[in-house]
This record gives sequence, structure tokens and C-alpha cells, in this order.
Amino acid sequence: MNEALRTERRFRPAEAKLTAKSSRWRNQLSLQSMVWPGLAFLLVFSYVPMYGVLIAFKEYDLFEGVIGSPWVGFVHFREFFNDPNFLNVLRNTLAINLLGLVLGFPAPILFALFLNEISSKRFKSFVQTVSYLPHFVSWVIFGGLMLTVLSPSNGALNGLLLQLHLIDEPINFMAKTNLFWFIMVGMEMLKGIGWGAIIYIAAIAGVDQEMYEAAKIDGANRFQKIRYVTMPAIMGTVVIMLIFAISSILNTGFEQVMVMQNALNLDVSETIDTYVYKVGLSEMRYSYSTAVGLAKSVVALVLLFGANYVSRKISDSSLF
Amino acid sequence: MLGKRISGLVLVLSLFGSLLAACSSNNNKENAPSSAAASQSASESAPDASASASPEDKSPITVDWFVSLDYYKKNWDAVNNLLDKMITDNTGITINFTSGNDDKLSALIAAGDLPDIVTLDKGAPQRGVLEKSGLVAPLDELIKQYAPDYQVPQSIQDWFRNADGHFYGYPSFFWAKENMKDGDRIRSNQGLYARKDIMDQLGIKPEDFATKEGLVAALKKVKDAKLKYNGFDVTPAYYESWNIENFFGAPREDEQGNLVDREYTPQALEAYKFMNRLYREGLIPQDSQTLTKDQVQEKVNNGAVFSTTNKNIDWSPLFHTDPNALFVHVGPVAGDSGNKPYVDPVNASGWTLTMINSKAEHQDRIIKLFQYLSSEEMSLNVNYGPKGEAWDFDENGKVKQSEAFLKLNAEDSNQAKLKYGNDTLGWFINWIPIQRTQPATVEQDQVAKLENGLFFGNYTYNMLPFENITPLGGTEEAGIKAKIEENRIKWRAKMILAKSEEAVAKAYNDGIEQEKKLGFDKLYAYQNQKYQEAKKALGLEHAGPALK
Amino acid sequence: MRIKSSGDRWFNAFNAVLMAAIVFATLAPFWFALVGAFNSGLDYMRGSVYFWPREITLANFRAVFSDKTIYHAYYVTIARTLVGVVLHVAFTSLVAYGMSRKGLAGRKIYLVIMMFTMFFYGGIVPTYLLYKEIGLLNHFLVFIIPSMLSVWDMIIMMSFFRTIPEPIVESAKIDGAGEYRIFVQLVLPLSMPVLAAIALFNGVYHWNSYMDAMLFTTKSSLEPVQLFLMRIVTSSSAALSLSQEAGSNMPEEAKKLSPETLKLAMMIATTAPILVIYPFLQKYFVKGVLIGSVKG
Repeated sequence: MNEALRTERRFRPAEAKLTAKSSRWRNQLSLQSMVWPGLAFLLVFSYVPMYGVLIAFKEYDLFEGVIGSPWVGFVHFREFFNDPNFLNVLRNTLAINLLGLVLGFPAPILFALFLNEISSKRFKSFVQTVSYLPHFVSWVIFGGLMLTVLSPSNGALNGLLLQLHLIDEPINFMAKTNLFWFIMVGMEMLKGIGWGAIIYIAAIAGVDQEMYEAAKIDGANRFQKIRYVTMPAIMGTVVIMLIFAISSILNTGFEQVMVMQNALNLDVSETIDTYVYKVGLSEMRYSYSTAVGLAKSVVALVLLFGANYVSRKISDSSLF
Repeated sequence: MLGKRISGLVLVLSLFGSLLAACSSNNNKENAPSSAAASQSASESAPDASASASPEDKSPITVDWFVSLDYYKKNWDAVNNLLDKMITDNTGITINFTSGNDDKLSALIAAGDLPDIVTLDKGAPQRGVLEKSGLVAPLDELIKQYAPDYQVPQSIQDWFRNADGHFYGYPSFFWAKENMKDGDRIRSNQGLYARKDIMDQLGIKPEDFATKEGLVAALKKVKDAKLKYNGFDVTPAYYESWNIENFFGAPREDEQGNLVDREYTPQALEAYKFMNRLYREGLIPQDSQTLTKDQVQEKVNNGAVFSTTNKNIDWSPLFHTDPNALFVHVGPVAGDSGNKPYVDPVNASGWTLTMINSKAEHQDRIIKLFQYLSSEEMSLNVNYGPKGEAWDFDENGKVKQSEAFLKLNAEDSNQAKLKYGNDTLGWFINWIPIQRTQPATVEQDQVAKLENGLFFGNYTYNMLPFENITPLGGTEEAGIKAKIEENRIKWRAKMILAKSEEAVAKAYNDGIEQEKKLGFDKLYAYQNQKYQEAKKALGLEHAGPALK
Repeated sequence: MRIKSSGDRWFNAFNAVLMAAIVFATLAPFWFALVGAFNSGLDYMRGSVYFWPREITLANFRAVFSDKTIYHAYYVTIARTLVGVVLHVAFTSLVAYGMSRKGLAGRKIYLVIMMFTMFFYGGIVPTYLLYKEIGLLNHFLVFIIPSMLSVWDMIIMMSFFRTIPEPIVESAKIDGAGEYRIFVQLVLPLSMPVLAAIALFNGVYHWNSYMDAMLFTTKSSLEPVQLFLMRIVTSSSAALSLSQEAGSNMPEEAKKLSPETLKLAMMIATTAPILVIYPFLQKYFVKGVLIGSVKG
């Protein structure tokens, strides 16, 4: 490595003599040589095993293998789309995700912006350190704690509401079907706000300090600085995160929903992921699970391109 | 500056390189040579040992054994672990255990990397693949050829026999009727239990729970007394509806010998109406439908529950804070039909199956290892650790654990496991001899548990044919069953928490209708066929609880 | 010194309160977990142990650390995390830089090819067969190589690299620097915050992963600490349910442990090292980068 750089330095005078065209070509070659290993990597580790998705159209028999198993066409897709529960799980999945987009998506961004306004460096790093801790608590444990807090018999929240005389008798929150989606999104926000903010904090940290100085000299107040310096600087990241959030609108984390489900809220809590887990994966129906996964991926891909297209039309930033 | 950074990079790269080198050299060392060396050194000392003990071949070999449960781990240690030492001394075999989930097993099958021995859940889809594909050897043939004196209970052989006439796996935790003696009873995890201290306080008798009216009256007494225990309100009852169905004697088979789904019987509707009545009278709470098992356990631990049907809820934590707070068996409640109450026993056909790779090198030795591990005494040894070291029989023929073991176990149970190997190799366990010789206990909660178990042991029946109706993983029927189960969770809650008895009946009919849409008929046809096959294999004409 | 307006003061006060609330809300669950890990298992099952352990015990941690081979498992985990993160950040950032340059021919097609892999996964069996074919099974590199490139991380880095003002890169080019040199000497130092973020994400991935070890290795010498702990926890809950199923009595000492408290202790044991390392990474997040001074 050391040697290579030194060689490069030695040849610099010769390089200067090259025509602009061949330098562009050379430049292109070095850029391409950065990207090709990545493409080759994905070809081997992602594209080669991808034939495995074929089992979505087959009745997968382990002994026959992916290739040898008999074709069944769209049987597994039909089973899912014709399922009497299909519309219900689709509704719940979309509801939780749309709510998550509206309430949950901006939360880490706002947190990062507000955190950046803290002047005490110590307090700032303390808050940031603490904020990402729940990320390491598993959903089972975190969900269990939430269930305890929300419990009608000895939960802290009911206790508080009773003390404040806001309610007369305890509410069984986990049986309230109209609250479930909000509880899910709230939990997700609480657990993910710090971890989700890391990427925005990094983006904000990358902003040139001179820009703030310049804005200050122009007499910008705090909000104007956020509006005209910070926001544009992190916009690219925000747009990309939003595009991906939209494309994954059919995904709800499996564990977090599972842990909050019960017999009384199943009508609003069953999502595609939990349903397919129960009737597919946990029964080891690999073809069925793969078929639903494939259908979801196709939808995600379409949404990704759609969101990217819209974003390119209405703002400068887009993914590609 | 630049130089510094680059030298840092070089350092990292060289570190990485040396790490890789270290790993790959480790690889080489750890592969075959080491075991070859070990077997060489061991074989030098082995001959006289095998000559003195028995004419059998005890030359040291290593076999690979894959357990398809991702949490299982056992590092074979014939030097420090007394159980491993005993097995290696007696068979010459060193076992190299590996484990993983079903996905890993699938990959091993697909890649042709199957180890010598495989243990998997008896309901896993891989079982069918293994048995049909010829990847595993028929145990009956191996027994005939290499271990003619190996007695596998006929009912087990028949039970696991394939259409090709062979059986391929040996089960664990099974209850074979040949092994049962008088007094052996298959257990149940169901029952009807109530707190003795509260019953005494309010003058409630166990017999009160034998009728619907009596049960309601008893629970009402608890409710009206507005009891507080340790500051917690005492909830009269947490019941499971399917247990009530069983108590009401919902039949599992009709007169023609066809399978009956219990949810489709009049007793089921009666049970839901009864549960609904309990709910409407405030005797079971709404959260009985939402709490997880752990949360109910917490309530029981706090002493906030009077009566329950779930024996899996452990009341020892409560007993340890209050020796009077014991749960004892009551009732059980009978229904209007006059059918006898019953409870479901635990699975008789067991949990896992262990199979032998048809290409395994030492099949003769492995089948003898199976025979060795299947003995009644080995069940005790793998449960407690080796006899003589970890336990011995007392004068009553009960197991008495050694002082040394108990001391170490109390200090650090994991160290005890590493030393005695107790509880680490359960793939051939037969629970009957363990139950028969269970150590005598003076702890009152344990005595009560034993008594409760014996009492409801009288209400169990031969459930074996019904164990066959669970569809094998990976099939369409398995999917239908999962959908119906999922639907039943909602359905039950709706009925139990309904506003009136009419609403229960309506919800009941709606639920049945929904099940039809989810494919109940197809599932039933499959289950009934499996049921008939099972009865035929067992030589039974009728099965299920004896009613009336 | 500028005098702060009253609006500013109000904002600061509001912000401090908001941050304190977030600190409380996010610290509480973690604190409960910490308390549970130090509480006796049987007692924990009684419930309402929140702010301070009721029956303090180290039994859970003793159980976690009882098998001495765990130290080797830590070694495997540390090795895979260090090597994995360095290679991941190096490789992913290199690809990301190439992809971030507007001059790259075929950029859009490359990006589509790459993103396609984020949505379609062939499954475990084909992956196993591939690793077997190229000799990764039962090798330390199976932890490193397949995770060297993440398209998601690549896209994050790419978007960050794009925010570096074009004139800076152009002026370096006029000075005669090649793309590799610009990448190493100019872009990487300017991108420390995002590199730190990706290193953190990837480090946590490596630290927590055990599925690859379970699926693709069989040697205990390659066992990472998470697989080790996962087994302790699941086997203790399996033992519990099995003992109930089989009707055996819970052993005396098991009353000090419960799957729940063991799980919490395991979580603490694996999170603690991340908590120690994090402050070192954090300086890259808090300190803004002075692009101007680098340019000058």
C-alpha cells in the first residue's frame, strides 16, 4: 500500500502530460475498479443462491432439492390471497406501518435536531448514550415490561391515571382494539428513537461548522440555522430513509407484534409477518412462506421505485 | 501524518493476516489428525480393558451425533465428566455432539453431510424425508443383524413403523404400555385445583367442585368474601375452556369409531356457556383471556388466585413464602350429559426420535450404543448422573441422591452438570423408571404435587391414537390446522366474554362456519384417516375416554 | 458575547426537559433489565421487581460464566467483530465512494443490481451449498466474508459522500490526485461521523450474531459468545418446560435461576462491552467536522 502510493507520486509529472480524454478514461477505470469488486461480491453471495426463491412456485421436497421439486405454479400465492383472513392481516399491517410513518419516522430526526441544540457537550453525549440503550433490550423483554406498565391490575399507567382521577376504573389497554396500533407505534418509537437517530446525528456532525458561523454572521436565529443549514445537510439521508421506510410498508417486526398479541386484540394485531409465521414457517411450510415473502418483496421493489420517482419529481434528492 | 495512518493500516492488515493464519492452522490441527492420534493412543491401552469386561468390541471410536435443537450443547469429556466417562468406558465410544435448528438439518440433508446419528423432533418434516430417502438405516434390521437381544417395546416399534414395514427412530420420553406396571400412571398437566388455606377459611369442601352449581357457589363465596392476600385482591378462578370441556366429558370418538373434534360436541357449547356464566358473574376476570402464562404465574405467586385448571403453573414460589398456601385437587366438575370427566395425559409417543445414518461407518457399534442407552438404569443415570457417584437406591428402592452431588448442585448447578453429566443426554430417556423411583420428599408442596398427579392420573385415558392426528410439518394440513387454531383463540375469547348466553350460541355457530371456510373438512378427513390408521396399528377398535 | 433572547431561554429549558424525559423513558427499561439480572430468579417470578433488586444474587451471572469455554467464545466474538468491522467499513466505503461519484458510467444500473439483493434472498439451503462449494463451512472467514458488503450501509455512506462539496474534490483533482488518493486522504477523513455510525451498526451486528455460527460451523472452537449464551438461556427454559412436561421436580438451585433472569443477565453480559466502546466512537458524532480547515 505504502509502495503503491509512492509509485503514484513518482509518476505524477508524467500524468500531467496526458490528454484530458485519457485522464477521464483512467479516472473512470479507477472508479469502476472500486465498484466492480462490490458487484462481483453480490453476484456470488446474493445472486448465486437466489435460485432458492423458485420453491415459491414448487412443492418443496428437501430430498429432491430446489431444482428437483415438482412445480405447482401459483398455488401458494393463491392460498395466501384467497385466505379469509387476508384482508384483515393486510389492513393491520398497513395501519401499523402508516401510523409508524407519520408518527415514528420523524421522531429520530426531531430527536437528532433537538439533541444538536444542547449546548452542554456532556449532557449531549449522556443523552445520546442513554437513548440507544433500549435497542439492546430484546423485544420479548421490552414487550414484557410494557405489558407490566399497561397492566390493568397493578400497572403503573393505570395507577397514575387513577391517582389523577382521569379514569374511574382501570383500563385493560391490551384489550382495547382501538388503541393497539398506537401502542405498537409508541413502543417502537420508545425503543428505536436513539438508535434510529445515530445516522442523523452522524449526518449533522458532518455539517461544515463554517456554515453555522456564516449563518450567525448573517444574523440567523436558532430556528433559521436549523431550517437553512442543518435540514438541507441531512435532507439526502432523510429522503433515503423515507424511501426505504415506504418500501418496507408490508413489514412489521415479527417479535414486537407477537409479544403484544392476545386473544382479544388479534383482530387488530395479526399482521402479515405474524400470520405467515404461524401458518407457514412454524409449520415448516417453506414453499408457502417463500411465496408470501416473494410477493412482499415484489411489492417492496415497486414501492421503492415509485417512492424514488416521486421524490425525484418533487425534491432534488432521490436515491438514484 | 499519512505515513502514520498507512503504517496503522499495515498493522491492522498484518494482524488480520496472522489471525487468519492462526485460524487456518487451527483448522488443520483440529480436523481428523487429533482424533486419529487420540484413537491411536487409546487403542494401545484398550485391549486388556475390553478383554476383561466383555467379549464385545470396545475399541475407541468417535461418532458424530447431530441434535436438531439449537440450544443443545454437550462437549464430550470422558476425563472429567463422570457420565461421559462411564459411557466411553463401557462402549469405547466418544461422541462428538453438534446441534442446530431444523434449517441446519435441512442443509445437512441437502448437502449430503448427514452425521452418524441424528436426533430430531418426531413431528419435524425432515423425519418423513429421512425415512423415505434411505438416508437413515432401519433400526429393526440393524437390531436383527448386530444386537439381537436389544428389546424395543413392540408398541413403540409398531407406532413408529413406516409403510415399508421398518421403523427408523428410537423415541425419548415415551410411555410404552409394555413398560408400565401396576401403579404406573401416565401423568396429566390438567386438573382442577384450589387453594387449601382459603377453602378452610371459607368452609369450602373439595367435593363442592363436583357439580356446576357447587363450583359456582364455591367461587362466589370467595368473591363475596372480598379476600385480600398480601394486599392483592384474590381472583376466584383462572380456567381454560378446553379443560372444562374435558370435565364435561366431550367425546373424542363417535359410535362408528370416527374421530370427533371436541369443539364440535354439545359439551363444548355447554362448557363455553358455563365459562361465560362464570365471567358474567364476575368469577373469572376479563384478563383471563389476555394474560400470558407468565403473568398468570405471577398472580399465582402473589397468592392472588384461588382456583386454576393449569398444572403447568408452578405454585412452589408461593409455597416458599407461605407454607399454608397449597393448591390441592378438587372436583372435578361434571356436566349435564352425565359423561364422566376426564383429563388429557401427556404425550405417550414421546418427544424426539434418534436415527442412524445408513452410511455410518460403525453401525454395529452405534446400535449397541442405542441398546446401552435405552436401559432403565441408563435413564436414571442420564437423569441424575452415574449410579454410585450421583445417586443410589435406598432401602425402599427409591433414588437417593449423593451428598456430594447435592452439595455441588446447590452451590452451582452448572458445575454439577459438568461433573456428573446429569440432565445432559436425554435422547433415550424413558420416564417410567424415573417416576417409579422418585426420591422420597418431605417438602409439603412436592408431596401435594405428587398427590395431585396421582389423583388426576385416575382420569387419564389412552390418548395414543389421537397423537397421530397432528399433521406432519410442511404439509398443507399443518397450515390449515394452524389457521384453525389461530381462529379458535379469538373465538373462545369472544364466547367466554359474550354479553349473554344467546350471544355465546351465536358466536359458537359463527366460529364453526369460519372454520369450514378455513378448510376444516379437509383437515378432518386427514385426521380421521390418521386416527383410523393409528387404531389399526394399535389393534384397537375404539379409543378415547370411556364415557358415561 | 451575545445576550440570549428569552425565546432562546425558553427553548433551552423546554429542550432540556424533553431530553430528560427521553433519558428517563429509554433508561427505565434498561434499568429494569439490569435490576432483574441481579435478582434471584424465583423471586423475580413473583413480580414487581423494578427499581432495585429484592433478593440480590450473582447466580445469574455465575450461570452465564460457569462454563470456562465462554472465554474462548468471547475471543471468537472479539476477533470477528474487529476483523469484520474493519473489512466491512473498508470495503463498503470503497464501493460507496465509487458509487457516489457522478462520473461513474453505469451508476444507475449498478445501483439497481445492488438494491435488488436487498429484497430477494435465496434461503438457507442454497446458501449452505454455496458456502460448502467455496470452502467457507467451518472456517472463521464464514463470519467475515459474507458480511463484508452491505448494500444498505453502502447507500448510507454514498449519500454522505455526496454531501461533500464538489469543489473540494475537484480542487484535489486539479492538484493531480487520483480517485483512490482522494478517497483515502480526503473523503475518508471528512466522513468520520458516518464511518463511526456504520462501524457501530456493523460492530453490533457482528457482536450479536449467532445464526451464521450455528448454521455454518460445527466446531466449538468457532463458537461466538452469543451462541453460547443463547444455548444457556433456551436450554434453561427448555429444561423447565421439560421438567414440567415430564413431571419431575425443579432442582433446588434452579430456583435461584429462571429463564427470564438468565436472559437479562445474558443481555447485560453482552451489552456491557458495547457500552464501554461506545464513548470512543462517540467523539465522532458530537464533534462537528471542520471541512474548511481540512481544505486549507
